Amino acid sequence: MPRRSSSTRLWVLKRLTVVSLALTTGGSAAPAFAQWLQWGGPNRDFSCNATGLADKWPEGGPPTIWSSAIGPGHSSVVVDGDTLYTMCRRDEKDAVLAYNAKTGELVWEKQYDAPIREPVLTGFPLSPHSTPLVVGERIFTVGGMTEFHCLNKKTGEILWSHDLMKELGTSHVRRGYGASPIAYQDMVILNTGPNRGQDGPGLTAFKQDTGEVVWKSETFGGGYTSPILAEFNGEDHLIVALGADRIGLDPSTGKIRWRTQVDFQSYGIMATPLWIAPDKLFCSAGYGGGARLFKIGLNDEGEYAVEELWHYLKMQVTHGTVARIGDVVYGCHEGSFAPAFLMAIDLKTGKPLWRKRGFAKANVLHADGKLIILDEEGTLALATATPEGLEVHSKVKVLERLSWTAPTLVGTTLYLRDHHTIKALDLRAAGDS
Amino acid sequence: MNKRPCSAAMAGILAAAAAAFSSGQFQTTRPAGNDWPMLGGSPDRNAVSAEKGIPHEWDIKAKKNVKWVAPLGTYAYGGPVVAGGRVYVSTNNGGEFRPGIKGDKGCLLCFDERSGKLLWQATHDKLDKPYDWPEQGVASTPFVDGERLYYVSNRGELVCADARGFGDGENDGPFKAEKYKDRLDGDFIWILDMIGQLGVIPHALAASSPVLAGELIFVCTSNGVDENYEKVPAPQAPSFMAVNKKTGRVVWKRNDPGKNILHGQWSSPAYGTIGNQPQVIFGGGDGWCYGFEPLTGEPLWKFDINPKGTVWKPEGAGTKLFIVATPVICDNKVFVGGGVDPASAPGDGHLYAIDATKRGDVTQTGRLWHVGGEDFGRTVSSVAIADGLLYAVDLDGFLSCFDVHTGKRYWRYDVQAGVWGSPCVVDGKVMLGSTDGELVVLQHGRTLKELARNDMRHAVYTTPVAANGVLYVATRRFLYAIHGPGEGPNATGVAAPGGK
Repeated sequence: MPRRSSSTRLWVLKRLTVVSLALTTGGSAAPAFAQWLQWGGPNRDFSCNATGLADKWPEGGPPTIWSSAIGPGHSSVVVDGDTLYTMCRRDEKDAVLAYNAKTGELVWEKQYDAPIREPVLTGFPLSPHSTPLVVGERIFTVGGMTEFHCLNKKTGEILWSHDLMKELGTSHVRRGYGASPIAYQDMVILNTGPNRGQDGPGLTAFKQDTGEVVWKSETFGGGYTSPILAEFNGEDHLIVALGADRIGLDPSTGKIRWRTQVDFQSYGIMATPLWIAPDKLFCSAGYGGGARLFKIGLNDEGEYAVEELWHYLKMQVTHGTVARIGDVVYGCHEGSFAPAFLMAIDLKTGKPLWRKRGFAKANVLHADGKLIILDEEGTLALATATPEGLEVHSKVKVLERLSWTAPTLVGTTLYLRDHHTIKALDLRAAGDS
Repeated sequence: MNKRPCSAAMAGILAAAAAAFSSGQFQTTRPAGNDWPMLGGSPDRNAVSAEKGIPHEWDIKAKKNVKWVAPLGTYAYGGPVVAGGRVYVSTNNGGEFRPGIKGDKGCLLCFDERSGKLLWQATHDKLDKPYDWPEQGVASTPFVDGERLYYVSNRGELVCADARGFGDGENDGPFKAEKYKDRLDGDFIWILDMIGQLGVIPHALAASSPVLAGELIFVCTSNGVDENYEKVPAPQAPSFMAVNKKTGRVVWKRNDPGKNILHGQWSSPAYGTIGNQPQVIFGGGDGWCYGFEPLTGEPLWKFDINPKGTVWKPEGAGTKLFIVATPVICDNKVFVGGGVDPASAPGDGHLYAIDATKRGDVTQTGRLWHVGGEDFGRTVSSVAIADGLLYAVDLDGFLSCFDVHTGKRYWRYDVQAGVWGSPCVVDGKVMLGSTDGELVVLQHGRTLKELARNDMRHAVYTTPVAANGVLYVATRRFLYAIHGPGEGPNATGVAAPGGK
């Protein structure tokens, strides 16, 4: 009996239910046209409204539309019409790349000096981890050594820059900066947290056109996590999980609206929080963190108050993505240097619904009633995830280890990359055109 | 739970064979009501305890069966060990228990065995990379010998410390240059700086747990590859050594793994008499297991855990492994598994039973049995052997029960989490901590029976131990003293070890 096929007795699919796609993506409306302009997609939650995906792939995997060379990096792909953008390392430089999304041809490449800034942890690729953000005619990028750039998306020309570490004390957490920028009104907002015990704004907002600093939040810990936006109580909230802090801010001013702290948390927190409309926040963290659900409310004085509804230690999403379908969050328990388990957790109870071996540490993406799973060994799978279990329809190796980059889906085209290759795969159902 | 009972036919054969075994053959000689003063409980490193009255279930939230709880730092890899009325755990300074000692440090904490009160803390400042690793603290489990204890600090030092700390009001020497010397600080007797004095360049973090026999302390140095994983920068530096326990002077040292160290020399040695020959056993960072004459360091035998044709690649991507686990000596045999840095990818492994009475290269002649491939993964854990049963666990979280004579498997249990610690057999139970913060308790025997999965709230990287009627479990954040409702060594009504 093969050892790691394992553990099917309890987790086997008891029945196959057709998932009704009642996608409740809190507040913000998904654009009808095919775009993926930021980390996490239209709603920053790794769910998108693509349709027409195949239920099963051909034997060798979904057809490759194109495949091109790229340098090292974990930065994921954003797609704006016919152009896609991402980042990679080129020796002592970082590069922002624009490819033709239809053909894979390089449109432009902008390199800039990015020497290693000590102290860094070695044995770890110090390539760009952060995902670019496209707003209008501009693209915003942050390199592994905290160089922040605004570029002309047509030409790659650098319009303005900030050195976050030098100017704001931003930490690169010894492994390279990893958070992705977010847009709000005429601003772009970044995680700029310092090293533990040092001063510096936890988050900073810049004007998109000039790069001028609009506000700096108070100090809270550095980390890799990207902020999200949510609407609650008729107000916009900028939400971030950094160190042990789970914080909601006014995105116009950077003033803290609510804040809670969890028990000790390593600065290695990376997973992006997930807003559960209308009033809940799902956070998960590796290195002993676990999953938590918070409820945001108002107390008798009309002030914001945060309540932890549950904590489940054994869903530690370290740098993977999670996807919500109905009352269930699906994701990968990456543990703390331990085997990975794909799992489902019930948002209502905080109890696990199932837990499955068979994938290495994985990212998930939800679309068209299916779960697309990409693990760090480069194995891509198409599955149906229900509260009862996971039915894997197709599984094929498409990339090399370490494939930590979250996949991007635009229409029926899936964009993927590892440290050598970037590619577009056709996930259409056979016969569609 | 994923149960894998062996086939009925196999069970019949094994049951018949079992009747022929002398049940006492593998039982520990360690009496109940005793200390647990080192990794594995005794120099042979076979973690089998004779304590009685140890419960299989407890509730740390409701404090059921919990005698006391003591906070640790934010990571704890070393210990617990129990000796002379004190309990020791290695951790970091995340607790900042000593006012005025702030920030990241390596710490060894000493608690009162009865109350869990912190008696003293030995503190070691951090070294710059590549010699040390942030937040990981001291990772070595101390060996306690009367009023002295021996461990390896995060600074690559072999440390001899006073079991009473500075609490006795004396700065015992020759070492008197302690940076921290309040009554609650650790008192160092001597310090052997393996980096400064022996030219060792540890990789990531020095981590070996010493073993003591007679006047000699045996320890691995954690010598390793460079930051870029390209070569061993100090191949001439020792991997293994024997040190005089009184003076801290090196008696002999060996660099057999030398330039062939694949990643780091992190294993911990075992000591025992095999045949009529005392031996010290070292697991090599080159994938060889070595037996040496203890007084001189003369080689007796060596065994290559890697089959021909295996290939080393960093991050666990290859097929070649090295030894992180502590070898275990039992009945003239040595049992050891192959592993990788636990941060690397899991995968197929090897577990061997080696006849340690043979001499020379015993890779062929000393090989008694082997399991591996899909049947046993990479491991950093040592085995535990009791009543003819061998318990072994891999990084993937599968705990197996094998026949110690043949390597035939009776059962396999899916812990459903990673495992860095080792199984311990105590009071008829097999206990094992997981990286997901559970303390799994199974019935000791040929038939798989899960007794409990106790929620410990935080990852357990250490091995649970029992001493003087109390079970100690160190999670990464807390040390728990757990006892039965009868409170202490005289509790009754619990089955004797060796239950079926």
